[in-house]
Amino acid sequence: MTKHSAQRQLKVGVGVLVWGMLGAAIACGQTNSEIFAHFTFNFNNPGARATALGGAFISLADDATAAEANPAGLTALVRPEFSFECKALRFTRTVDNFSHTGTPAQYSLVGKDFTSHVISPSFASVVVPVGKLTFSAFRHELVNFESKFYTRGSYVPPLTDGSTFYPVSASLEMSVVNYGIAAAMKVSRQVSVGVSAGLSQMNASSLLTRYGVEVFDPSTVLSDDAIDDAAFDFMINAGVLWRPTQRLSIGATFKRRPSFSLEQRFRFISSWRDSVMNRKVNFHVPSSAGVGISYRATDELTFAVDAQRVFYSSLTREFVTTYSLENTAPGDYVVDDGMEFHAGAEYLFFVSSVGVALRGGAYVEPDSRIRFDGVVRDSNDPDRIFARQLAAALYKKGEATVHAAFGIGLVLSQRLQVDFAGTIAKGVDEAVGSFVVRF
Amino acid sequence: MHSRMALPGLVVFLLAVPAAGVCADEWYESYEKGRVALSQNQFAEAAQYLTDAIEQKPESKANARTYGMVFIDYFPYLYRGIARARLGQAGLAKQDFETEDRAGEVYEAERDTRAGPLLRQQLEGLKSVAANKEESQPVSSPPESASDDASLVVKAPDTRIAAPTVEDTLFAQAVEDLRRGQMLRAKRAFANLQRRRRTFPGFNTHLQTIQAQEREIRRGIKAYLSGQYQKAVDVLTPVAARAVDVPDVHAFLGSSYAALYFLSGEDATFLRDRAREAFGRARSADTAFRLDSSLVSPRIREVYESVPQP
Repeated sequence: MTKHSAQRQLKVGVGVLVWGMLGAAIACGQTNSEIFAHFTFNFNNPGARATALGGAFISLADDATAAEANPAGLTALVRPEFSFECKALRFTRTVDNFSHTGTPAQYSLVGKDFTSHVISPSFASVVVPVGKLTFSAFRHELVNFESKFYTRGSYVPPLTDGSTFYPVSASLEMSVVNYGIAAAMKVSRQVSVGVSAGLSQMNASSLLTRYGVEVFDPSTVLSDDAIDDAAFDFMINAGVLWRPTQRLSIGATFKRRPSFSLEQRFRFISSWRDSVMNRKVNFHVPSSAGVGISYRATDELTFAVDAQRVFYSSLTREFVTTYSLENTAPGDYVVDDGMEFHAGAEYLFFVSSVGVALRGGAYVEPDSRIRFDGVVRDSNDPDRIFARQLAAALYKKGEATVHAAFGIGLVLSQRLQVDFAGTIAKGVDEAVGSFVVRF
Repeated sequence: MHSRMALPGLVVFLLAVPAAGVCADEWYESYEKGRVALSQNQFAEAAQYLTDAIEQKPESKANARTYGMVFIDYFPYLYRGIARARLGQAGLAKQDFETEDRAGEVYEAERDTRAGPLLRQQLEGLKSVAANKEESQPVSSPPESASDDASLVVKAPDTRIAAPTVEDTLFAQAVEDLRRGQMLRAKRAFANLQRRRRTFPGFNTHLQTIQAQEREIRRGIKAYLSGQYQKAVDVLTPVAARAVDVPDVHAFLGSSYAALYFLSGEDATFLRDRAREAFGRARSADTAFRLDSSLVSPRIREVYESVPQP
């Protein structure tokens, strides 16, 4: 390690210390801690049927999952119905700055993929039509994300002066679960409206530990920041469904998603004294608005498409810098609102009395990663350039993700239906199983 | 904060939407309700629901898709035909059975497996009735409302859809009588059904209709007795068409016209003609009917007596 790079590393440490000292006085928001740099949402509609249709379900919404997909669709149900979904997710996180090869003058970064798995009951609902109204109570896992990774320390690209990131180990478990009720009614034979509302609970547990050297031992810890907290807020979905003909359906939804305030603990360890600072971090789960159209060409063949605007920019609302705070500003971190596009088709046939549905679809998820959008060299101050270079390296623009979806459904009887679905995409794969019981 | 304000707003919106009177049933809801009504012997209601289903989805279909992944066997013509037959509308029932038969879907049923045999029975019943008629008289088009042709309906093996009972026939006949203006006859039939403690869809509505007409009759007579002859004409004229078999209506209507005729100085002969027409209807309704001499003047009774017996 050169003297210069040692100084750089020291500066990173000093920056962290400054954060720790000023933290109590700073308005808090989602942070630029790298644990959240690759955080991804998955707002696909619940239910294996919807999943297999590429999530295009706003205009269909004709089963118990409608409470989340489009509450207005609940009016289609004429009998009580119970729905349950279990989901397995595999997240693959590529850490670009895992390590490096070469010399400070000429090097290559080494990336590494880290995978995490989550299996959980992700949706359950019961629907009861009562007169002209249809009611539903549901539990929906809006977010369930896990990430674990570590780095061995790497050069900060494209600096060639030997400056390195400290090695880190990190883990994040985050979930947002909605508990709600929904009500829907027909305004006319063709038009239905519905609303669902309830309480959202966020549970977050994260720990990012920064080490002085690549020895993951308590004695080498420089700092860590942790969140182990739960928070609550209200959510609300509203939807409308218009069926101008028996075969054509058009739907629209608005989903106001919750915001949470969690307590983050930052600890900086030094030889002369440790400092611990607690602060509130706000998470604004992006709201969305969408429209969908479905066309039932025959009783056996259905097509559906959705377009959904996701207001990802809320992620940087009340955003604060927790690192390099004197050299980067909240405004340097941005994420754009994005359009999701979903499309799917379902073909149904009967084998004896068992209905078999084959489904396929795809959806495009826009880049939802927070990126550093500031000018790296906005001054001649080498420390500032270094800090901004650091931020640009960690918070890079992502890419839109295409998810391929497929699935099968079996209508075993008038009362029981089971569905299975899978999606494959860069960064996240999912397998979904669900069943519906009708009474 | 927005959600906290939006939630009550949306709830208020939902509650404010005028749901009353909205006929919003999907075709499968109407079909289901029609089947239920049929199983409860509510034939008029069943026919109405099934007609509503047919208007939305006219094609019969085995494994018809309703919502989500829910499928039903949808044979609305078969069940409407049964309902219509129970209502005495044999001609319409026959058309429905034949429509269902032509569609052929009923014979592909996976769930409603008794529908096919049931339709065959109905059709065979039609053939046997037609054959019997051929033996006795030339075949003619079946009447659309022939209560005496209810024999066209073959007794179904399913106990849920039983053959029409005496009460069913009585009720159907009473409804038809009321529709044709045979108010007294209908009233007697409804009273008879009430004594048998039988209720039917729309029963109370029919009773209320009769009661409303009786109120109008009393109002018209009261107008006549108080010397308001034109008002009596205005009140009794519409009710006379709905109470053809009530002689008092026509008698007081005729008396009112006659009174107006005499008050006109016997110039307005059309009033006398209308009086005679009304008196003629009164005599037709009850050949033994006589005007009450304590209520009607001798001159008017003379006009009445001048009308020949039917």
